[in-house]
Amino acid sequence: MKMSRVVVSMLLSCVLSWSASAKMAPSVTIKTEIATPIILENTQDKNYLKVSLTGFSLDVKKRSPINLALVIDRSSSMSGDRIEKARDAAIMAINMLDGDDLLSVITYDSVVEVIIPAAKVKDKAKLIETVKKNTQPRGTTALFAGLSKGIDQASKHLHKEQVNRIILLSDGQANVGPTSVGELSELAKIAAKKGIAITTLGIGDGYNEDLMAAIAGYSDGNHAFVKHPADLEAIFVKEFNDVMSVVAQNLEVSIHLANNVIPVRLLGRDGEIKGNKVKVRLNQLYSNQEKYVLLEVIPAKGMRAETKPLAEVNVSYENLGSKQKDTYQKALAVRYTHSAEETKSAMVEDVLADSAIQLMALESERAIQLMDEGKVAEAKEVLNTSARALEALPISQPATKKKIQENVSQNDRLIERMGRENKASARKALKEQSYNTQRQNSSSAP
Amino acid sequence: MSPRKSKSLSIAIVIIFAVIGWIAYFGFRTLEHEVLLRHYQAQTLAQTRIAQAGAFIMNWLEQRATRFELLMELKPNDNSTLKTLDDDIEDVFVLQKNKLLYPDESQPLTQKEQEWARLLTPIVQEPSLLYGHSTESEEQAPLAGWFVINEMQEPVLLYWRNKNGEVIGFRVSYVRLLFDVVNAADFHFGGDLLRIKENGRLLYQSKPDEQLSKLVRLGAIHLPYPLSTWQIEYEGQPASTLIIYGWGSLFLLALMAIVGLVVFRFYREYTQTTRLAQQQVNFVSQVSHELKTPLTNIRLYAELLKEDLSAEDGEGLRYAEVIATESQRLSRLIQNVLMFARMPKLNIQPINLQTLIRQMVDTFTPSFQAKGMSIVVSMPEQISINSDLDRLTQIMSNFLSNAEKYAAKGKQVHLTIEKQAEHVDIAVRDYGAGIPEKEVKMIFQPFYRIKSAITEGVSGTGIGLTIARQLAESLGGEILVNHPVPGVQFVLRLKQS
Repeated sequence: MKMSRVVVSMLLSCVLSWSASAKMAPSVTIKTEIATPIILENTQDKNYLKVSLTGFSLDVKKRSPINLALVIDRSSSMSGDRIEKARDAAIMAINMLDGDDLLSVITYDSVVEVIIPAAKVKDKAKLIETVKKNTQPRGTTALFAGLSKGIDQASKHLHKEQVNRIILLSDGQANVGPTSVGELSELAKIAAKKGIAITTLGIGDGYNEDLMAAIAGYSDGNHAFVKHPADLEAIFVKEFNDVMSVVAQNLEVSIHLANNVIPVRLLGRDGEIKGNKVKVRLNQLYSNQEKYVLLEVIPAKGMRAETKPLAEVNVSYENLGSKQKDTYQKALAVRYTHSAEETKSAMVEDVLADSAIQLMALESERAIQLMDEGKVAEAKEVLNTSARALEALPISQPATKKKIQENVSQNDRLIERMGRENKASARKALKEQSYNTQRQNSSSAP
Repeated sequence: MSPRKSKSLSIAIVIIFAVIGWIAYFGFRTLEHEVLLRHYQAQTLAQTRIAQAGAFIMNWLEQRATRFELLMELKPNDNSTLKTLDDDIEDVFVLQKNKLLYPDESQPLTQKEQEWARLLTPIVQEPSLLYGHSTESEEQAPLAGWFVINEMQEPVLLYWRNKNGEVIGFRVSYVRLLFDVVNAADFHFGGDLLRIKENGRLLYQSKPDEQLSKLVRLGAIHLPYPLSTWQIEYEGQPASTLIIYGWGSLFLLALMAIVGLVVFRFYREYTQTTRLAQQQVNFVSQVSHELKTPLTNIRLYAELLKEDLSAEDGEGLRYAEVIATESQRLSRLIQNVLMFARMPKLNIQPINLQTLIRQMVDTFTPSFQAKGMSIVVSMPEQISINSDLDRLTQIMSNFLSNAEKYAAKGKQVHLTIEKQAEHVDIAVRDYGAGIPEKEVKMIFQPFYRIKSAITEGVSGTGIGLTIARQLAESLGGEILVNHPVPGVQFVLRLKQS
């Protein structure tokens, strides 16, 4: 009797899984493209290799459980509106989570306090009460210790099939314990190694945007500049949409370049270049969002009509939809021609546009440097020049055109902000923008 | 206030202050000792707790070292796989003499690996740097140990071992150490506070800032190499000493107050007694004064009566004589009392003792003879002294009249003058019943009279010797009492100026 039931259930599960795979288990859409696939013979111009990853649509009801650690700055500078909004945001987070999700809340001033240890979200009212009680501003900003505890709490229940995320909220300079960008980046790397992404939200004009962006960068989280505390809620909602729509984790893109192909640099996302091997890791991929790896290369010289391999691209990731590890492999080759015309017509506009956008992000970083040196006018000039250059790109596809236009207008808004707002604020906006461009995040800027 | 009274008051004050001072001094010393003890205990506790926290941090290093030692036992041939053996290993190097085997700079390296190789350059050039910090054994180079490069903003922490001429080194993430310490540090010492600092930066504090008021540092240490930039501090509450001093002082004050009160009480009792005696004296002297005038009249008329009566009126003459003698005696008594009450002015002059003694003997012989007594005098030929004649006479009279009154049955009285080196002794010795030794002290007290058969029926004021002693003291002398058998000897000892 019992036996037969087991057999039946086994059969059933077989059928179910078969039917699921028959329905085509959703997987990440991966595209590998070269900006100029047909190269003029005997030239060695820069070329761009793009590996694009787009997350599939996810059934909202089937989202992966979240392991969230909220790390909230409660130093005295947070007094008033800021701590209130932070509290509201934390309460909202509690309300958005389900019984399967894990939550921990850590507050820090000169000391760190785990006010809610990592546990499943069961008694929401009690959690909210605890948050309300323990968020009175006081003391200084021990950011390192706060974040350390956050990582520690998030590490308590690590599982492959959940989304691990820390949201770090701060309005001030870290001034207790280790405070350098290098040290906090190392800390972010520790989190990244464990598969935990850290999203950093900087409130007001007082925080260190380089530090906050670096933490987010090394752990592949988001970074946002919250100019007004009132915006915090909207940013939290956006963050939650992201976190709840994670479809793949631990993505690894490795590009093995063919002989005589020289890797120059990675644009946007950072990675590791060793000889002719390039490795880039992404912590997660969100539903319906495109992330890409953009590699600047110098291809080998070739004769007309010749076809030479350029690179072999391997991608692996954990698919949260099928709960399996997926892999992808593709070999890329370039063809050589004598006709400049042919070269031009074969160009992939989208890749060209993205590389131009990434180059513009690099220019934004240069503008930030200029601002730091006090050369605000020159910084504006740099931004303006790169925006105009982007605009001038000969693009015909409407979708690509739209993307370019968005970037240009964002850039122009920033230039306008630089004239209107104080330096600290403009710098933060610029940093946020550059970060989001490099990470291919949709901008949160209003 | 009489000088006598103020003197006793000042003595009382001195005693009170001495006792209070003694209590205060020793009490305070005890408190100090107690505070020191508490302080010492607190410090010992602080040291223990600091050591505990220090061991906790050093343990992190020890654990890694042990693990790396194990890994090296299983060392694979491919150096590049060393790095993947343990999560805590951030980087690896293999060094042979002055040649870096891994990372191999002849192969393509990532940017990170190139930086790592660059960082190792000083060690590659001078491998002895690795143990240069340990000074304990210079001849024998150690084979393993920790090494830290502090030049960078973020210190580089290495564990290395020399194995068959190859030095294998593992780099552990310094931030990882900070991270683990921050997360694992969990100390609760009640009201006390423990801080862990790295290079002056606060890593861990066992309590929030707002609860830190009024703590004092009880101890601080630097960790040993390679974490010599790390410091552990311990702070505690100093309040306990205040409590000891507070309550201790309160107790001492109470004790001093009690002692002061007791001494004052004694002083009060003593002054009350002397005041009472003074009142007695005053009363007696007033009464005596009042008696003087009628007594003079009585004496005068008794003398007149004596002259008027002839020898034929045998009976009458005898009565008159008795009246005259008795009134004379009464007059002498009153004189004594008045002398005691109000001492006349001192009048020092050279006195020929021979003359004085002769006069005294002449005066007393009739009354002695009447009782069948005789005076035997023995004295040097020529002797004189600087003194007050009246007072001397008074003292001598007292001695002689005492002998007459109380030692009549001894029949003889010896009066001797002896000249010593620094003083002159004038002694009167009788052969009567003598004075019991325990009573000797009492006889000098005012109005004290020995109660015995001798004094029975003999009139006396009880202040004769008191006055004699006062007078002797006022002359810078003293009265000694000897007990020859039989009888008693009173000696007036006067200094020879």
